[in-house]
Amino acid sequence: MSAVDTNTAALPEEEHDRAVAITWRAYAKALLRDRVAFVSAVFLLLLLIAAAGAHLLAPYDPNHANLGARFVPPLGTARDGGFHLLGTDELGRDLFSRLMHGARVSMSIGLLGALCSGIVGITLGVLAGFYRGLLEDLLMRAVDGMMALPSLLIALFILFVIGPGFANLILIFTLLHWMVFARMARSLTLNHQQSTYITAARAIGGSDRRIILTHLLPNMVSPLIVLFTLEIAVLILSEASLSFLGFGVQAPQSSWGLMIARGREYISSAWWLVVMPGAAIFLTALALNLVAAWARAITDPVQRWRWLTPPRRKNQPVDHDA
Amino acid sequence: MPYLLRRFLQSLTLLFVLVSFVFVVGRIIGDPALIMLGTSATETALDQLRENLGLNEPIWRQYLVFLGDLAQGDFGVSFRYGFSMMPSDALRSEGTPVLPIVLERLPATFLLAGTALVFAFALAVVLGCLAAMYPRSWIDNLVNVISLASVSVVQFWLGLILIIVFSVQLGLLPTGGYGSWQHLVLPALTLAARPLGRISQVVRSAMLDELSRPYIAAARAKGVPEWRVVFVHALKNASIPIVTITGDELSQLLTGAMLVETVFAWPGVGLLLIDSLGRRDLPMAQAGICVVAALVILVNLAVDFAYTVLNPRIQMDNRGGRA
Repeated sequence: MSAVDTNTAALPEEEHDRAVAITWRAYAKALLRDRVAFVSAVFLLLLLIAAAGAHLLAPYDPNHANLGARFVPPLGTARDGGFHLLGTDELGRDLFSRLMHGARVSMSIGLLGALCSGIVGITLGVLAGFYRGLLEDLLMRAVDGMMALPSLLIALFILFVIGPGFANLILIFTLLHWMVFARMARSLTLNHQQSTYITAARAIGGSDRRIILTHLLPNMVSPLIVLFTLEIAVLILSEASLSFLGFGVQAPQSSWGLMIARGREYISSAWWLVVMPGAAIFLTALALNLVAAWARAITDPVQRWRWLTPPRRKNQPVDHDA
Repeated sequence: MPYLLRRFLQSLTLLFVLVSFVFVVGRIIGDPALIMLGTSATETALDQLRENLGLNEPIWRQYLVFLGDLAQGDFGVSFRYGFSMMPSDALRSEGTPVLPIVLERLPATFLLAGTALVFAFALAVVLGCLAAMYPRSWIDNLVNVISLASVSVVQFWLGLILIIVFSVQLGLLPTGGYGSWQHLVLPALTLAARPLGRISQVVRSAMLDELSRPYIAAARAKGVPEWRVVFVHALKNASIPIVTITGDELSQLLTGAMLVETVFAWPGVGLLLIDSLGRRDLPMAQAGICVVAALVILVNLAVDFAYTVLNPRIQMDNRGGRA
């Protein structure tokens, strides 16, 4: 990217070398230095492990009803001596184990939904930006129109007609969220198309396919990854809302949103059934947002040299915020 | 074509697309008779309903009839709303026109969304301005934390937490319902959280921009009091991004109200819509969706009109309208 060169070129020579020699180790060090982002990343990692290995790691069977241990509060011990970190629900099922299994559903909906809408959106956006013309006009009109419509409402209506469930949720999310990716992919493509390296690739006879796949896309990865991370958070929240209203994940599958909906009936006696799954959603979305903010700062050519160089000088430039 | 006229036509097109979408999803992807009567209905009942609703006509004809009815404000009749009998019995009666019922619910939603927006906007402007006046202070950090938390939290969960704290534990406010100002407090607070976070962030960054401009230094040099510099001189010029985000948030509020109304049993359009989906009341659900979506489109249009008032430089020729 030419933007990197101009920015780093403006720095003192010593810094220039360091900023150019960006390695994975430098990224890891930068992550360690930013404590908030580091904690968020660790949290997300643990969450992924917990979700993927829920069947091995969960202390109890999430669907095993134990009527002798109903409504055990968090950190409580049931009469049969079983310890429950986050308490139990109305059927005596261990809430912590249920949260781990729910994480699997919520996280996979977030990841798959973002992945599918990302693939559709990026493909359309890049093609529109690359070929311009009628395709671009039509696409951008569709994007503007769809962004102006209330997506939750439309999601509800479609799910009402085609029925709820995991696969339908992914379908709906793809249908209603591709525009976000398409818009960004198009504007990135338009930016890069002006660059000399694209002209050069064309001059030596690179095919369109080759230019898009090996030159354009790799240069667009970092902003798209930031967007992808943010979209996962948005989708996890949407899934929770739809499941809460009864149009998302259906029993016996369970997601965090559905758990809140169930816990609502016992809100006056067992607060933890509502608080814990919601807190799980909150922390996950928060961690995703924080990691995205960090990734944006570190991949931004204007900002990143500050993160990637050791903080030893006294007169560091003022942080202008993203 | 003048800019505003073009925006108006765009909004009309969007409305038309939306209505057609509702038709396609309701009639072509789904089978209205099956949606309304459920899978347990007998074939005779289904046939009778198809006959009554004119579903045996060719699809293009149904579409034209549908559009014609909508143009006259006829969204169909509900066989579920206010009927306690079996759905198949209800079919023999006349049914209740749905549009008046939806419109009847609008004031409650407006009251809720309006209160939430006014509260969020006022607080966000004050917080955002203070954050811009004292960068890196505790109030600046507070604004950052609020805006980050507000995009990470699920609204209905926040509402339930408020119920646990203020209704169940402290017993100060009712858990839900409608009627007095006490009923309004918790749902409005819940709904205000998200716009508060988003708007205050935008106010902060827009004000930071404005406060660094030469005319601010000039105003200060003339001896204008600082509060006047910030809240009159700078705020006025920072108003365009603030109006944009507030308009966006208002349309978000109209749909967000759906969840909050469900949590607090607030009798607005959102609760009606969710209930009718649960009752498989297709005409009522369609009317609710069309009305809410039309409001959202209207709000977006109003925001664009507000632009031209706030900034006369935005005129006829910027292609495509707002991003």
